[in-house]
Parts: sequence; C-alpha cells; structure tokens
Amino acid sequence: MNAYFASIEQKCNPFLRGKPIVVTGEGRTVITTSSYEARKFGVKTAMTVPEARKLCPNLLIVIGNPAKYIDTTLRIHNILVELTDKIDAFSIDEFFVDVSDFPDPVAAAQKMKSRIKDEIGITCSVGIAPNKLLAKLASDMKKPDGLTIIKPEQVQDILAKLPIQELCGIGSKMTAHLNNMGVKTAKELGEMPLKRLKDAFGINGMHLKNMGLGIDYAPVHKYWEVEQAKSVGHSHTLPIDAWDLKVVHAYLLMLCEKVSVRLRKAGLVGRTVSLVVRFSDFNTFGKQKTVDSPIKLADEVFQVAQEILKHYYPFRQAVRLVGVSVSNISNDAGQEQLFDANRKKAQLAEALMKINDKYGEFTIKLASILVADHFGIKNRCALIGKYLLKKHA
Amino acid sequence: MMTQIDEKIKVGAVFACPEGRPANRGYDQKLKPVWFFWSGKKYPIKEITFSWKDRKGESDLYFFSVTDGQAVYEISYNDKSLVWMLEKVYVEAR
Repeated sequence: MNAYFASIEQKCNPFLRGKPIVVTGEGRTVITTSSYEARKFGVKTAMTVPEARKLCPNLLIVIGNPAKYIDTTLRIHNILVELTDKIDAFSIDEFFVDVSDFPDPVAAAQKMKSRIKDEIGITCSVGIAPNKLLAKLASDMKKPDGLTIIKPEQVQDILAKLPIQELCGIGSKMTAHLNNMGVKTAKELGEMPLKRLKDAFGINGMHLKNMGLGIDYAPVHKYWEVEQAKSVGHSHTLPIDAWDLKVVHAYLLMLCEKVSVRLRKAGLVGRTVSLVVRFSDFNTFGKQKTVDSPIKLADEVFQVAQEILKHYYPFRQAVRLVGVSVSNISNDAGQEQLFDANRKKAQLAEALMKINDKYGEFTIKLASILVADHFGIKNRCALIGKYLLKKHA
Repeated sequence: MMTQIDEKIKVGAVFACPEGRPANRGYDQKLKPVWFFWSGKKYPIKEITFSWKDRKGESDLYFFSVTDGQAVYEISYNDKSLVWMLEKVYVEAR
C-alpha cells in the first residue's frame, strides 16, 4: 500500500488531503509514515518530528490509530481472498499473491488495484515477477499507484546495477558489511564466492547469494495454511522514557499478560523467554533465557523476563521500549497442576481471561499494571500476523 | 486540530440492506449515520469519509469518520450497548 497510515488518515479527513502530514505514535515524535506531499520535502519514516519540521515547517502531525489500520488491512485481505486463496500477509500493508495460475496476471493485478481503490479509497503499487523477492522489488519501483512487471529475461539487467540495499532483507548494517567486502550491487553479490559469504554470514550466506542472483524459492502459501507460531511476543514504546524500574516492570507485566493470553488461547506453551530493551539513545539490547519446564502464565513469563532485565539495571539511559516474547513453542499438553497453589493460579488466570474477553482487555488487571495505566497503555499491537487474518477470513 | 470529546450523542442512522458484496466498501454500507445531535445542535452528515471496526471485550465498535463540511467528526457505535459516542472533532486551524 502507498504511504499506508498517512493515506488512510487523509481519506478520513478531507482537510488533510494534499497536505504534508506524518503519522506518529501517541506521545512520541518518531514518524511511522509520511504522506507523499511530506516526502517531497525529504520527510521520511523514522525521522523525528523536530527533524521533519526543519525540512517542512507546515507539517501536520496525526496520532496513529492501529485499530483503524488493522481493520483496513483485513478488508483488503477480504478483497484479495475473493480472487485467490494463495496470499501471504508480509506486513500490515503488504501482501504476496500467487497469480501464476491466472490466465492474465496483469489483468488480475489491475482488478485488485481498482477494487482496493474503489472499496477502500486508497492506492497501492503492485509488482509482478517470477518470485517473491523480485515481486517486492518490482512493487517498490513505481509509487504511488504503480504496476510494474519484471519478466524473467529482464532480471539480470535489473540486478546488474541494483544497489544491494534495494533488496528486501538487506538493511544498513548488512549493506555496510557487504560494501566492505567490495559488494555494492546485486550482481556483485550474486557473483561473490559462496564460501566467502558463508564465512562472513554463516547459514545466511547461501540465501544472500541467491538474492544477488534474483533467486527466491519461498512459495506463497494458502492463507488458511497457517504454520504454528514460532514465537509469541509483544513490545511497547513507552509514552515517556522511563528511569523508574517500577514503571518498566509495570509495562513488562502488561506485555507478559498479553503474551500469556495469546499462548493460552492458541493452546501453546513455550520454554524460551526473550526480552528486548531499547533505551532513549536508541541502543537496543536483547537477551533470552530458556527454562526447564514449559510456561504459559503471565507471572511465569514475567519472572523470567524480570531476571533478564536485571542485566540492564541500574539503567544507564531511560527506557524507551520493552518487548517480551516466548519461543521454543509446543502444544499445551494440558498437564494437571500438582500443587494446589499452582492450580489456583491457573484457574484465576482463566477466570481473568474470560472477564477481559467479555468486557475488554485489561478490564481487570493486576495492581502493578496500574502504574503503566497512569502512563498510558496501548491496548493493541499494531502489527498483525497471518493468524489474525485466518481468524477473520 | 483534533480534540478528544468522548461524549454520548443522539444519532439518526439508516440500517441498509445493500446488494452485492458490501463488506469491503465500508461499514456505512450497512449502518449509515445521517445526522447527530451534540451540545444542543443538530449536525447533518454531508459525507462519511471512512469507517472501521474495533473490538472491546464482546462488543464490536463501529467507527465512522464524518463531515458536515465544516469539521470532521469521529463517531462510534457499540453494538452491545447500542450507544453512539462522539469520540473526536477536527477543526481546521484558521
């Protein structure tokens, strides 16, 4: 989708149309999306609002609404599902659609674009190519409202001059590393000896070489063929950077509660807890710990997360973001709790989940989360996954 | 400038019976607010610019971004309590 969040906000509010706007999180100044009018001034995602205002003094700020964007994505998915069931949700505003069985893929793509424009009211750019890697590249070539085709015979010419950072999956750090190895273009990446790439990047070396050659074997699955989650996690950017451990704990506990609810609803347990902490200087750290027995309850996840957090306390900078996830997932065998206290804890957790399901998330919450309440809790995770799409399809 | 309001309002709406496949066109295809009363004044809705759905517990909340030509209003309908709310108002800075 084109400038997704900004486009939706301009659709909502006619007074914002044709104007440079940016969408930010509540209480925060980092830009999540900028409108095309703002981009003409050089305003980009991840800039801060003060930086953007220097480039564009008339910039308008809109606080984002994740629920609005998630629901819109579900509606877009519904449109695509009417055409085919081979759809992969790549992100909140990107889908891979397998059109290889269509008699006229270009006509199919045009139909998708016009239906989205007609029924949702915003534009998208489509790329048609032999595989996902190249289709993503093609979709980025013309924005907004583009339709770009990369034919097999065009691939080598395109890759010959393509800067490696244009390939999906190669970020700034990887680019710098490859540049140091003398690799600047996709062609040079494809020509790099596999051994050198494996020595530098391990198991990813083969994948990188394939990217340089324009090769991608990843299929587009049927949207309802959902593989089991490898991890379940949530992260949250605090409305205000926090030094107080009690505040950070409150948010961490809230996130552990969200993770626990998702695990239990999916009938899953996990053994590895990962914690991510981002400080106000944007330095981000992650650590994980694996426990002997599978866990699923909020306080079980929190205990492990709290242990990991001790590595970073006392904080050398205020905390901007915390995230927790549980991996090493397996199906919950429904093991009976041996001890009365644990059985009661599990029963209480189930009762709380039922009440919150009926009346809304965090209707009943632990007292320790009230600290986070005071600072502001965002109830929804802004990113959706294939699991949500399967549920709503 | 966007202002948070969070007040209950009286709304006149049409519950439509659209033909074809309406779901993706917006929730106003089925539930179309036509006017609302706020602070003693009636606001006729000139255009529904966007709509979306959220969930709170067992309630589905239907949100509508609407305009009377002067300002933009975000109103919501809770399908469990059957209550309409004026969530926010946007007035262009002059």
